[in-house]
Amino acid sequence: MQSDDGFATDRRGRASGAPNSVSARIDQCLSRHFGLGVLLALFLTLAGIALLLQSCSSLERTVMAPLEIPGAQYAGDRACADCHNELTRKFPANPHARIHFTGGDLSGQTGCEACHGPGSKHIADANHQFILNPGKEPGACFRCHLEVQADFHLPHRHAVVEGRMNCAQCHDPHGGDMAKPSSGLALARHNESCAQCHREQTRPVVFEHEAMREGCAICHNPHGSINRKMLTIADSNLCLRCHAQNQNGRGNIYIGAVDHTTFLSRATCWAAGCHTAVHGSNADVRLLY
Amino acid sequence: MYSDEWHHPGSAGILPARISRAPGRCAIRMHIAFASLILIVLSKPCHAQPIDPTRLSPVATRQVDFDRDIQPILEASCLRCHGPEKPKSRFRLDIRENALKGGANNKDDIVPGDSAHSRLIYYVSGLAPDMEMPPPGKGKPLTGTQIGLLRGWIDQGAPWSDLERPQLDVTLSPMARWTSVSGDRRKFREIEGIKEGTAGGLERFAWREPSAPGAWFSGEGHAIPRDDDYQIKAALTKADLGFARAGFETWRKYYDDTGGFAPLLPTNTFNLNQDLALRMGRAWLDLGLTLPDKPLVTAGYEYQFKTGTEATLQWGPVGTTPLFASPSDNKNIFPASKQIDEGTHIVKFDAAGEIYGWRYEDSAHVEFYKLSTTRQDLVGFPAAGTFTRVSEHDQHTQGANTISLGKPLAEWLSVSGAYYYSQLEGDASLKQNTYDASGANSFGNQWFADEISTRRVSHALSVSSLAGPWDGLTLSLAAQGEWTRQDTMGFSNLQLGNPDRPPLLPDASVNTGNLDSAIARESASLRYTTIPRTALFAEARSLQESLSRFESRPDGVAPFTYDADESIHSEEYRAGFHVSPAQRVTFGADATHSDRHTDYTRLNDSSTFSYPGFFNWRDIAENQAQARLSYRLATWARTSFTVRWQKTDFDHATRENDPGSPGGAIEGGDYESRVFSFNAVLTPLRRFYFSGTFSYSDSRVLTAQYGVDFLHPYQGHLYSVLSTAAYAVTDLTDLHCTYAFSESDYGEHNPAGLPLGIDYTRHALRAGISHRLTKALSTSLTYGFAQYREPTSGHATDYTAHSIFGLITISWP
Repeated sequence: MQSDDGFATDRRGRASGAPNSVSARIDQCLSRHFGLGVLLALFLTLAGIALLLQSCSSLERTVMAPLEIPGAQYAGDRACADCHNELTRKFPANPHARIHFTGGDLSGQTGCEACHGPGSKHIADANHQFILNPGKEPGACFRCHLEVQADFHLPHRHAVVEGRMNCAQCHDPHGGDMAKPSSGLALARHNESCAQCHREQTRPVVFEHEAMREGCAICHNPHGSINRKMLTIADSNLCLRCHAQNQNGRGNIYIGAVDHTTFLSRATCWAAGCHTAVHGSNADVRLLY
Repeated sequence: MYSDEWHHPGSAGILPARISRAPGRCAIRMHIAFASLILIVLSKPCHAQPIDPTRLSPVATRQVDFDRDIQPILEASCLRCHGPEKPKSRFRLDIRENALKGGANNKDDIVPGDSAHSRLIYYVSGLAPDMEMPPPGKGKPLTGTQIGLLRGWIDQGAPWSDLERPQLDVTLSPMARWTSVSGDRRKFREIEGIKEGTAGGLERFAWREPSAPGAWFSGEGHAIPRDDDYQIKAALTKADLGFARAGFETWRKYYDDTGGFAPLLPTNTFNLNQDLALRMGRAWLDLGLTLPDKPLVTAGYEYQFKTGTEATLQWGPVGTTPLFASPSDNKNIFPASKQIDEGTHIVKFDAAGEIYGWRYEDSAHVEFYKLSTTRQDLVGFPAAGTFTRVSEHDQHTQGANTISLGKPLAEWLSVSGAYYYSQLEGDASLKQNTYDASGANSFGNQWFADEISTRRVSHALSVSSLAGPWDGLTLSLAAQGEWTRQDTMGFSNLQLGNPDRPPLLPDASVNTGNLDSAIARESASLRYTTIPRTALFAEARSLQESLSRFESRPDGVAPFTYDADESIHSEEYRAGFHVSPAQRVTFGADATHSDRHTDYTRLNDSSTFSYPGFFNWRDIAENQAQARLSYRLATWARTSFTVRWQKTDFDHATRENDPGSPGGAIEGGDYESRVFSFNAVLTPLRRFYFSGTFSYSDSRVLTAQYGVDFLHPYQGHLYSVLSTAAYAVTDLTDLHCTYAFSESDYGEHNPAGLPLGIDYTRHALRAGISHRLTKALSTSLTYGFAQYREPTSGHATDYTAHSIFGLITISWP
């Protein structure tokens, strides 16, 4: 419901926002003084161009692009193997080896430094610093996984770009970790990555939801989604993909022997009073909690 | 003068030939890095022929400064192998104390005041056969000038840098933030992850203090009290001894309190009028031993927690007609929430090392888990406002251990294996009661389940090999077996009625759920890289699972037994290439096909609802193709383009079940999606950087394919734009800007059903300026703008926000 001032109200008529906030006043001001706003934008643009021209002619400073390390040069994979031989030995079995070839013309095109940045300074540093660790900062991963970067900016997401999680918590970029879905030498165990944090959903229960055996990603996009709870699908289509919805020719949807036609027209499968225990139930075989 | 007793048993007769080389030859080999041959040299008893000191480069006569003259040589040529981490031959050149100790077998690598008797000089001069430093292929030989500087430095007593002495290194970044939000503040918190209003704290702090030679204390993190956002890490490290690391981190995840939106209802949006947030975090302590040539051992403790209230999707009914009236305008869109109190204590022990050439790693964890949740859901029956409250408790202990072994058997062959074991024992309980709108007991579910015991035991064994018998061809093979047995049992009484008006209709039974699973997985992958600038690959993975499932509720109103064997077969095949056909171009593409098929064999199936014993088989088949093109237009412009297509078919076969189904095969659903992404990184000016990513995707899920008017296909488009720019205005001033945009049109506009697809637009902009006032002090001021518009929520969740973010960074020294 819209109130007079344009803000949504709940069923008690209470404003869900604060129409008199500073932000609202800024918005109102901008809308009333659109012409002034255009003039301001024009002024800022001209000032920016002037600043650009001025600094272009007077400055020698370089802005470092991501993956560049000041003062470092590409050293090649063999230099990495001197110390990290355990990782380089296994690398050919790693999914990232799919894009690795020798003889590339561009430094850092493939191999270790494609993700970790140029390594010469790291090699020379007594404290082994001056190297990028994509496990802590996802920028290197996003250079190739463009759509994943976009997912991490959707409204519902794991907090990776916020720095509270990192890619390596779920993925093993070098392969070899039994519990992570690396597709490398070791093979992942079901849902182990998610279970590290989501124990409530992955604990054993008396009546299991069989979908848990398909893996969490059958229902959730672990990177990000436009839907709450990072669901891949917001409505009952999510469940009906697997739960056969045989019709009897009368426009009804039966699941098993139960006519779900009226339920599905007004609620999702996991709505209150229905199959709320979507991850499994300790009390009810139909997951009604 | 050289010591007469310095001999090398394996090099008699060779050394003189080396010495006889003209000094000019030594000079040619000057640019060599130290690296690993020092280890080889020092690990052998050395008894060399006398060396003529005149063959050595002359000593630098000027005063040698360590920082200016020596440290650069060490960094460029030595520390790669003789730094603090795994120093070859245990010879470290990062600290004077260790350097003067010498390597594993020598104590006279550096003899202060006597470079002519310091082995280091022989090695870098190439006078020790097979022990030239840096080793051939590992770096350029040192020049005569560099060797002279090293000699001069040793002759002058080998003084070290002042920097090596304990020195404090501190960075503090206090911040202040002001944010104003109009619209749905709670949605703002959920999406943007921060709370409106003013906030202050430390955006970042870092502290590093060498406390003794080879030992240092470090700490880092951030602390923003308003957001309850803390991250504090501290470490005390002593090289060649061990470390102690401790930390604490916590943050809040916010939730909006609104439910769904039903445009045709008089009151079409609802909220709980509650601030919902989960506080999550962990605290940990790790102690490790890093003794040279000993296993790396780490013991630790960690506590993970979640506490607070989260929004759930178990939405309750609202409408103007009684719940079961026909026709009814009821829609389940009233929001719900759940209180959570979850804690896990974890004790960890890890060890890694090498024995008889086998690299081993062992990781043992024991977890003590405890969970309490309370959920409140509006059910609207028997009267409007009726709700249920579900409380659940669970606690379990789980122990797990993974041990892995690996060894390169030959230059072209390495093998590895791992074994995983875990056991979980736990108990749980559940209680559900029904209340009317005033909170008094009401007719409805009065369930309780207790004495629930759970037990799960898993074994997994994997073996793998990696072989590269021919140049450019690599074959990896792996197999894994898993066995899991899960036994659960519990009592439940699903009573119906009102506790204030007994009797209640009982529905008691002992429930049993058992699973026996045996899985075999195999994988094979082939890489071929002999073709110049090309990688070809092919992979195959398969899975066979035999699953026995027994679920029973023998008593009560609706007795139920399901005993079935499930046979699961899964295959996945992938092939593709990655090539660089021209200097500035790389292109790669691959295709994947996978299929997962499950056959059900019912041994016993007695269910009132004919479910889940309804299925004969089910199949999920997926095809996927993707390609990536990367093109460097110029040294200052790099672009990449990716495209991915995916199609998944869900098929089933069911048994005959009148009136629901005639039985037979049916297409359950199909899913298709395309994703196109483009990225450009531009640096046309030295002081300007821009990165922009555009991503477009569309997807469509179709179920209920025989036509019902209340369930539409779930389909739509999603657009995303992400960009970052930085510009150095002056030597001291930078401008920076980031912008993120996304928009979707998954709205279903389906009044006959429950339209939950989302149309929305989101903008998030940050633009600011940073300025360095002094070497130790810099400031930053950033303006932030965020806007969210969601027509499919009736605009109830819209918000607009403006923020100002100020930051000062102080570093010392």
